[in-house]
Formats: sequence, structure tokens, C-alpha cells
Amino acid sequence: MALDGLSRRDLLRIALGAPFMGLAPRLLSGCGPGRGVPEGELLDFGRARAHAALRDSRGMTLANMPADIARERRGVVVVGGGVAGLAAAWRLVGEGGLGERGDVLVCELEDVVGGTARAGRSELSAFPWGAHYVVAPFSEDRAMVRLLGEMGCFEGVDRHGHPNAAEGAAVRELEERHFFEGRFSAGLYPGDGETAEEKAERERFGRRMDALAGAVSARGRAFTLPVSQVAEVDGVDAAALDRMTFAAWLEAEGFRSWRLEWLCDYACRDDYGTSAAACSAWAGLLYFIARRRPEVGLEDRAVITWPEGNGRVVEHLARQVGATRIETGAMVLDVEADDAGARVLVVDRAGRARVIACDSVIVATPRHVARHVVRAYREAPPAWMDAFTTAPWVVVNLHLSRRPETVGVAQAWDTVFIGSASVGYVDAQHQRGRDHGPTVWTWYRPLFEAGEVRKQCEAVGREGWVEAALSELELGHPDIRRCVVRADVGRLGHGMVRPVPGLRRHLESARVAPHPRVRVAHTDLSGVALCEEAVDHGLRAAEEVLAARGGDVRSWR
Amino acid sequence: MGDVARDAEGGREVGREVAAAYGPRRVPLLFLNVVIIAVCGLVYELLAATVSSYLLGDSVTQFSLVIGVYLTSMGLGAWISRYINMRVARGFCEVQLLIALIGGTSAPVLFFVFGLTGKVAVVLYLEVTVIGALVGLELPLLMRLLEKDLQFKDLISRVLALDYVGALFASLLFPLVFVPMLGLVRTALLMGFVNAVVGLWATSLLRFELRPSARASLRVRGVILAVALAVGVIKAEALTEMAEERVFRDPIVYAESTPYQRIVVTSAHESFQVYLNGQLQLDASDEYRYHEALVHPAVAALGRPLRRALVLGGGDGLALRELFRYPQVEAVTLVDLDPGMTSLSRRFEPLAALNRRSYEDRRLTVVNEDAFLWVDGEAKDGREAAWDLVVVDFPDPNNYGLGKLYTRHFYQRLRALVAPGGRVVVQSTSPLAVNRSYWTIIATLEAAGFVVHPMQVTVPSFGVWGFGLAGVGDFAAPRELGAPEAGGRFVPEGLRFVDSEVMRGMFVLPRDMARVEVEVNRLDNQILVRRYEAEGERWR
Ligand SMILES: Cc1cc2nc3c(=O)[nH]c(=O)nc-3n(C[C@H](O)[C@H](O)[C@H](O)COP(=O)(O)OP(=O)(O)OC[C@H]3O[C@@H](n4cnc5c(N)ncnc54)[C@H](O)[C@@H]3O)c2cc1C
Repeated sequence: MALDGLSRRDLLRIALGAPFMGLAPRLLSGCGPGRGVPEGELLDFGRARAHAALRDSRGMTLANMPADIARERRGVVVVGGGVAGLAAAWRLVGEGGLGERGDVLVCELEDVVGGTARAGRSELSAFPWGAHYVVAPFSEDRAMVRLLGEMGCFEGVDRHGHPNAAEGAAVRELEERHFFEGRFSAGLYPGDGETAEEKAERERFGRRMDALAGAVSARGRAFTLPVSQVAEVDGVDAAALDRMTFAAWLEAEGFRSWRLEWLCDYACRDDYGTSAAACSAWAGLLYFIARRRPEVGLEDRAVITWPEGNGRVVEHLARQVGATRIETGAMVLDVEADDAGARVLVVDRAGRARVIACDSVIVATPRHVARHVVRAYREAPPAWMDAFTTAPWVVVNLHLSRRPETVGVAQAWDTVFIGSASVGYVDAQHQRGRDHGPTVWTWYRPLFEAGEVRKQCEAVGREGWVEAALSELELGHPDIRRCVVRADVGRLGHGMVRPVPGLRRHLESARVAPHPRVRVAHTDLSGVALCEEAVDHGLRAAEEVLAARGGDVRSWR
Repeated sequence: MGDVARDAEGGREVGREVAAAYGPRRVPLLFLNVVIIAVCGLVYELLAATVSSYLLGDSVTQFSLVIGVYLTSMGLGAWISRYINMRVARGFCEVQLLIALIGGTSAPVLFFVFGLTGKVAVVLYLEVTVIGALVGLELPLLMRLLEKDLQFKDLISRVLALDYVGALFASLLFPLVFVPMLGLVRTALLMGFVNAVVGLWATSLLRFELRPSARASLRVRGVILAVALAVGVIKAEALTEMAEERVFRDPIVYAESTPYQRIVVTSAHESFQVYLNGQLQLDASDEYRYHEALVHPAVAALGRPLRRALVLGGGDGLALRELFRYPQVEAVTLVDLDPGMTSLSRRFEPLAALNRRSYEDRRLTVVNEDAFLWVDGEAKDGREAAWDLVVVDFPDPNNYGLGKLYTRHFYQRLRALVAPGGRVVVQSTSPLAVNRSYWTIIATLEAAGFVVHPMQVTVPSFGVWGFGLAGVGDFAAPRELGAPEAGGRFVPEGLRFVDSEVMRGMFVLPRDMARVEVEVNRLDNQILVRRYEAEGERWR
């Protein structure tokens, strides 16, 4: 059976990556896709609408608009309704409105807000299409403490003043399990059959991370979130760490256990959509260290999640901002500013173009969009622009009528297949406490590969990805095909910024506003894709706007 | 010896004669045999590999080991075939029947042995070796039977080609038809049956090469075997239960797999036992101790009249029986995950009789839902705190799905549903056998804002068992049995175990069950599941 012109073997290779192919003969001889691929739809985030709008409005800019074009006035326009854009609007609205100079308007290209943190919903369950968890913040991340506090995610503080995640908010045990040698076991680390040597190495790795987590100077920490709070610390050469890959760092430190290597590579692919061999050592270490504090206890911070993933955060922010301040299906094509004010060219849901005049604009889109939308960037692309690259993601949402069989540890929120190129799946109903019956499993596959393989992956369509996901899941859930009633696939063409070596040194320049009336916000300005960063940049940009208006602005950051 | 040799010679003579007359049809039929034999042989191999990866895990290793051992054994069988010089036809038929017997029972035997000992590798590889050797023996024997009918090059090409075709059939049928439609045990039995029938058929195809006495003996055995295997195919469900019986000690009288659990009822000593997922839930001979202790002290501790009661878990209906002893009860809601369990309690006569047909009581409402979600939903809907009494009777926390029903989160939500002066009683595992687990549950109830009185009672089939009697706000452990009523107490009739004095004793915990300081069980740590598992190890 061929799907999207690919054989089952190709699909397996795509889903699992080379290391897993040892299992292929068994899979290929096993029950094939007998009853065909379950129905569902393919969603191309950003792409479908953006391409259609661009086709219709090719070359449309503020400069060549007819004189009779519709016009409108606002205080601040936020371009992009992802977490960063919504957080910016939340901050502006939180200042008690913007007075008589006009209100805030968030323009979001898609039909729903959320961007890479958007959620979906079916009769079976709500489920994520992208981001699906945040880590309980330390007290210094005041923005996240405020946001999650508003959402009721905390109960009290610990003896260091850090908020404790509430019992229903923190992920329910079992948090993670992995599939290795024919069965599921608890945790992420494939510990079965670990040798004494490997164990010693794992422990040494833990001690190394603790030492780095304890790297503090009077100004702050070497690794923390948001990264705007990172400080210079003696003995940690951040610039050097940014020049090398994480894989090279592990090698240089003498970490050779395949188990540890797998864990590190998995971490990079899971959080950054990039392999350890392509990810900078600085970003790799940030993953392990930013959420770790020796004085708080070596347990990593609690993970906070919801059935719909970070869609819950999006929903909260959108509610705080208010529906009247958000316009969906609104694509911004051009942003320009001068001393008199700023102007934004928008094509609305019905395809009508209009110009919004305002005091300031916050461009909360990724760099590759900002470069086309912001006139200043378009006319003179800054040198740092090309340093930003992205990793596409494929997300398969499998709607299940019941839970498939499992060999070994049952029921976990996050399930990972050791050796696979995917980063496994999360169970939407786990956090609700539903252990039986229908649920949605969200399977994630970052396209971290380069060149040919990436091109091949990008050519795979819905059926191919569903088949690839099922082929992998079948390893541990032999009857999964009988449980799937629907399978939707989302392709996030520019899912995540890639924290490759050398990117970090450009971040500071990239954050600089292209014009005093045009501020930028997006998680990619931190070089890593994380909710904490999106919120931080949203608040920073909003507070820059507020500061420019004068008056006393108390920072939420 | 001379006789035998002459017989063989004679057989060959007759064979030639027959070949002339009967040959044209006989040869294709024997070739059909080749195909069937190949199918059965490969299916046994796939069965063994599947069962082993099922029971031993690590499918890659198991598959390749089984295949390797099987192929080697086939080689061994082929080599042995040269030592069979006489009575080739009989040998062929005997081998057929042996394969039918050993192959046909291979999967049931493996599951049986696994149920009995928990180990399976030795028997598995023994089976694979024997079946492999027999299958390896079969083809050379058949080829020698046919050698007189055909030229060698034709013979070898056809036999081998058909053998491989059979293998193709098997590899398609096994995953697409046999496993999904029949399951492993039935597939094995069916293949055995087919082998036996082929063996019988061969006795007729080769009738001129077999001595009458040998033919008769083969046929009798073949028929018995075929019938036995056919019965097996039809009654495979019962076979699975027989295997379980080894695990359950006593004869199984009822078994059912629901989407949620495996329910098994056994019968012994004029009593019966109910197991959920292999864990004893009740023994009819002494459950009254458990259920009287669960319900009546909690009723006696009520700070308000008993009108509305909630039972969480407890699908066996036995807590209901105790509740319905109080005529003042107006409404009872029972929330149990598994419709299989509640319908068993309603319809399975011994259990229905034991719970005194509580399910027929018009005051009862049954909800089949996960109690965690049900309580969450009620608490969210802001239902008024309306329950006078809540009986929490879940299986022990031996997995995370059950562990969530023992968390602070769950108890907090539950607390919001309890009326002022209402009480909650919680089955809390054994304070003796799993002391720390017991106190974890008590401490978790306290952390959720309940005042708790620990209790213990002896139930012979369980051992020393524990409950937590909980209320919102301070209250005293009850001293007199009975539901509070205007002007006194209503004491139900027919109790076999508790009276006021016995009840007072339940609130005294001997030293070996004394309180230990333990952490609270939360959704995000679920320490109880791990603790229970670790403590339980010692007692298994
Ligand atoms: C598959 C995946 C999984 C992830 N998982 C996690 C996770 O578990 N935890 C976590 O913390 N982070 C996760 N992330 C990172 C996630 O990207 C960030 O947490 C955060 O949601 C980024 O928000 P943002 O607003 O900066 O960017 P985006 O989400 O990219 O938002 C940008 C918005 O701008 C809109 N837009 C673009 N162009 C235009 C235009 N011309 N006009 C109008 N609007 C436009 C887009 O539609 C989009 O809504 C994940 C990312 C991906 C891709």
C-alpha cells in the first residue's frame, strides 16, 4: 500500500528514524493498514490562509493603497494573537485601558487565536495542536507567577518563596513513561539494563547540572527563565557555550553513555525541534538547568498542564483581553511608522483591506513574518535576520474510542518511544483523571533533519503521517488501529525557532525596536520556543509602549 | 523382523499397484497435504513467537530466537528421517497426529504453564524444538512416499514450491485472519484439528501402504484427537478459565472481561469469592464482617438523620444491603465505574441473593462512571452539600488509576458534597499488613480537611482490615449503634457481627498498627501506589 507515493517502509523510516529500523521487518510483516487510514483533516497552520491572502493581495503595501481605502483609528495594534501578542494585550489592558487615544486591537491571521499554543476540541476531548505544558515558575519570573496565579494554578509558596503548583494543576502521576525493549516503564530515561558505568555517568551528569544550576553571581543566574534574567557568572562562558553544539559539549565532558546521549538528544528535539548535534550547548544546558535549583531540592519543578495544553493559557489571556479587542482572520500585510504615528495594513476575514492608524504597533510574529511585514525590515533587512531559522513540526491528533492495550506501565501523560525520531504522544484526558474510554492522543514529530530527509518529510501528507504515527504506536499498543476513530494532522511549517550555535549573540540586536513606534515580541527573540519567553517578550514590548507614553509604569516582569 | 521387512516389501508392491490405478488422483491430493502441512507448521512457529513476545517481552529477540530454534529443529527432523526405513507411510501418519497433539495444544499449554508457574521459557523452547523436528520429519517422509509416482526433479520442485506457497498462506492468514478472529489459543487448537484431519485423510490416501491394524489404530487415535481439538476450539473460553483456575485455587463459576477489569467468581467451601483483576474483593462467608463494620459505625456517628447516602465503588451491592436496613433512608446513589460489575451484582443469583436484591430497591440510583470524574463534576456544578453519609469502597490502590481515588484532591472535592454533620467512611487497606499505606490514607483525609477516626476489624479472608471514619468538624467516635432519630436511635435487625461494644473496640488500634508519620498522597506524587506496592511485596 502506498500513501503519498511512499511505501510503508518509507513511512516507518520517517516516523521512527534510522535507529529503529531494526524493528521494521516485524512491523512490515505484521497486520498492515488493513482497513485504511482513519478519516480526518490536514491543517496547514499559517500557510493556507497566508498563501491565499498573499495571492489575492500580492504586492499590496501601505504605499500603493488607493486613496479611498477604509481607515480606522486605534491606540495600539498587536500583530499576531499567539501567546506573546495576547500577553502584550493583557499587559496593555491591565494598565486600565489606553484612554481616549484609542483601544488595543489584536490582529490574528488564523480563525482562532493561540498560534503554536492553540487548542482543538471534539466531542471526545479538548486537545493541543502545539504547546502543551508550562513548568511551575520560580518566584523571580513574576510574569508567569502572575499569569498562572490568575489561572488558579498555585497553592501557597514553599520556604524559599517559590509558588507551589496546585494539586489539580500539576501533572498527575504517572507523568512520563518510555517504551523500550518491548514494554513501557516509568520515567524518560531508559534505565533497563543500565551498566554500573552508565549509572555512574548518569549521576555525574546530574552533579554537573546541579553545579551549573548553582552558578549564581550578584547579578543573577547563568541559566534561568525567562532568559532576559540571565546574568554573567564567573566560570560560565555563555559565549563559548553558544559557539559549540550540545553534542560536542557532551563529548568534551566525556559523557558517552548511549542512554544519556539519547535523553539529551530527546530533550533538544522535544523542546527545540533540533537534534543535540545541531542545537547549541547553551540551549541544551538551559533545558536541564533553568528549572533546577539545588536549594529547592533536586526534583525538577512541577509541570503544569491541561487537556487542551497551553490552549488554556491562550483562553485565559484572550478572556482577560476581551473579545472586542481581538480580530481573527485578520492578516497584517504591512506596518510602517514615522514621527506622526504608525499605520497597519490589514486584510480581514472577508478579504477587505483597511488601514489602521495608531500610536504604536507590537509585531508579535516570528522573524520570518516580521521581515516581510515590517517596512523597515523589508527595505533594509538587518544583518542578524538570516541567523534565525525554524524547524517544522508535524502534529497528529488521534481520536480514540477507547484506550489501546499496553504492555508494562499503564497510564501516563507523556509517552516516549526510545530510539524514535518522534517525541511520542500526550494523552489529553490524563490530567482530567479519565483513565478509561475515549481520549485524544497528540503525537509530535519535529522535522529536525536537514536536506533530503527534511524535504521528503515535508512531502508527506495526512495519510502518510497518520500511518507513520500508527506504525510507531503499534509497537506498544498492538490494537491501536481498532481504537482510532479519527486522525487529524497539523503541519506547522515554521513551528519553532532553532537554537543553533551562534544565534544567541544576535538576540540583543533583534530585540531592538525597528522604529520607536514599532515594538517586537515573540518567543524566537529568546532563541528558544517557550511559553515563558513568549510572555516575557509580550510584556516587555507592551511596557516599552507604555513607557513611551510617559507616566509611571510598574513592571509586571 | 523378517515379517516387518516382508510387510514393507509387500506394502511397496501393493503401493505400485495402487499407484497405477489410484495414482492420478492420489498424487494431487498428497500435494494438497503438503500445502496444509506447511500452513500449520508455520502457524505454530508464529504462534510460539507471538506467545513468547507476549509473555517474555522483547519481541525482536523472541521472534528471532523462536525462528532460529524452529528452523534448526526442522533440520534435525529432516536428518532423523533417514533413520526411518520401514513403514514410511505409518511414520508419516504418526508424525501428523503428533504434530496435531503437540501443536494444537501448544498455546493453551503455554498460557497454562505461565498461570501456574509464571515462567514459560523452558516449555516454550521444548515445544518449538519438538514441533520443528516433527515438521522437518514430515516432508522427507512424504517425498519418499511420492518418489515412486514421480520423477525426482518433478517431485522436488513441486513439493518445495507447494511448501513455500503454504508458508505464504500461513504468513497472510496468521495476522489477518487467525489472530484477530480466533485469538492465539483457538488458532492453535484449530491448526491441531486441521492436522488431525489431514492425518486421518492420509490414512485413507495411503491405505494400501498401511497394515490394517496400524490403520485402525491410527484412525481411532485420529478421531479422538480431532474431536477433542474441535471441542477445544468451541470451548476455548473455558480453557482460558481453566488456566486461571490454577491461579485462583478454587473452581471458577463465572468469569468476564469487561473493558475495565477481569471479574472472576470462584466457589469453595459452600461460599463464593469475587476477584477483580486477580485481587480478592469479597468472600461470601465472612463479607458481613467487612460490610457491617464499614456501614453501621459510620451511621452511628452521624450528626444528622440518615436520609441520603452515596456509595462510591462497592458495585457488589453489599454496602447497599447494609444501608437499606435503615427504613429512614430515602435515596442512595451508587457510583461504580464498571457496568459489568453492577449488572453482575444484579443478575448473578448468588451475589444478588447475598446483597438481598438491593439493586431492585426503588430508592437506588446507579451511575456507571469513574467516581473521580463524577465527584469532580458534582463539585464543579456547585451542587449543595447534600449527602448525609458517603461510603467509599474502592479496590486497593495498586495502580495510578485507582490511586487517584485516594488523593487529597479527590477527598477535597468529596468534602464539598458532604452535608453538615454528615460522615464519610473510607476503605483504607490493612493497618497491619500495609501499615504505612493505611496511615497515608488517613493522613490524606486529614490534609483534605476531615477529622478522622481510624478503625480496624478482622475479616478472616482478608486479615486485619482498616477504615477511616471521617467528618467535617470535630466529632466523637460513636459509642452506641443505630441511626439518630427523633427521641433516640434506630438499631437495625439481623446484624451478625457488630453491636455497640464490638463497635467501640474497632476504634482501638493495637500497638502493631500504631500511627506512623507519612507524607500526604497527591495527584502529582501518587506516593500511595508506590508505597502500597513496596509494602505489599512483603506479604506476597
Ligand atoms: C509543536 C510545538 C510544541 C510546543 N510545545 C511547547 C510546550 O509544551 N511548552 C512550551 O512552553 N512551549 C512549547 N512550544 C513553543 C511555543 O511556540 C511557545 O510556547 C509559544 O506558544 C510561542 O508563542 P508566540 O506568541 O511567541 O508565537 P506564535 O505561537 O508563533 O504566535 C504568532 C502568531 O502570529 C500570527 N501571525 C503570523 N503572521 C501574521 C500576520 N501576518 N498577521 C496576523 N497574524 C499573524 C500567527 O498565526 C500566530 O498566531 C511548542 C511549539 C511547537 C511548535
